[in-house]
Amino acid sequence: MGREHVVETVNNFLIDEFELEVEQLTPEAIMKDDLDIESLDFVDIAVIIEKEFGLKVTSEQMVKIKTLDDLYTFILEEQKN
Amino acid sequence: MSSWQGKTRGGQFGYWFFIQILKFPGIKFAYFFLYFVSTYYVLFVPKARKPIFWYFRNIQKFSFIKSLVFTFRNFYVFGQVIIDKVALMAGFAKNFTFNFDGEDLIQQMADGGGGLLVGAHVGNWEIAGHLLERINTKVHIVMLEAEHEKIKSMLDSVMTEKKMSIIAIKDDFSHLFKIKKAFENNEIVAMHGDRFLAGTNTIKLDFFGKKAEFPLGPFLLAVKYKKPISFVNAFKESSTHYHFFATKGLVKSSKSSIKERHKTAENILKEYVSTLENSLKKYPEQWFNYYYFWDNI
Repeated sequence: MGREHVVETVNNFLIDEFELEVEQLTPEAIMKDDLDIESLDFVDIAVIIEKEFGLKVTSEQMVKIKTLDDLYTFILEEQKN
Repeated sequence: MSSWQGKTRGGQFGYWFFIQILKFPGIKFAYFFLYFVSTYYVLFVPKARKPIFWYFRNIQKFSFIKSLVFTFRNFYVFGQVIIDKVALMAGFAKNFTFNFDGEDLIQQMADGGGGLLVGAHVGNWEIAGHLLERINTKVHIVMLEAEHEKIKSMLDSVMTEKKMSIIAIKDDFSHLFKIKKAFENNEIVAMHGDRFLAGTNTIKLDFFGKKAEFPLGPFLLAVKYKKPISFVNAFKESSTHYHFFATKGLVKSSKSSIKERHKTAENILKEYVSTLENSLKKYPEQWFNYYYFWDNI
């Protein structure tokens, strides 16, 4: 599964779930400050990662994800392992 | 204004010490001992005394002398509340009487798919655990890691057979996964809505006519998971009597957009602050936040 697919899946989820605008979803966007994503929303993101990519995410891993790019990279790296 | 620093006075030794007093001389002696403890705090613990005196003088608008008297009373009642809490956990429940306003509302919440109970550091919210035992569902009490660590071993010893569990708030968000699971299981989650740690999402609201900062997190939880939210507290009305209050479970739906969700949570928070203000007008001495809670300090 390539980066493009990961980006599209994650972005579609963020648009549907949090009603974010496409223009906001730049790789360098900081989840908390730029997208207003709360720590409690990370739970949903963990669920979608598991559902869409079959990856178990621990809370310790989630806490290290700061930007959207971190999130895409995390999914891609975990898929390789 | 300073936020709560994540430290709680007292600890396991304090609890152990009072259990020993409860077992032998009894609760009245423990209360008597508090006159000395309260005097000590008024005279020698300015870090705790100053914010409380300020609260009576500037928030409750009491005279200088009345503020001083109430500062002493505040420490005294706080001591009683801690002793009562330990007494209940140690099995001395028969020493107390309770009346409940809203127990049926919490039972309805339990029967209808769970919900969120939000208290504050006022009165003796923990004693409400005595009531929550009677509620026919599992109750998860969310507390800050620092508070939990202090009393963990004691809580573990009294909660093993109860339908209650503790969810400790941690930096790694693991508590959020546990809260989500509790809601999915249609259980009840209980937490405080007045304190926060630096870096968390807060908003400033009028509280007794002055701005004070409150955490938005608990209220966002209720909106996000579409669960009813009830404001609960238990106030001490005499040395052996408590009055428990619970408001009707509020259900506020919101669009999923983050902005809308915040707006809805903020509206619930305003109702919480108003309820808290009304309670403190009735029980002014039962405010137990020993730091400068309001702005402009």
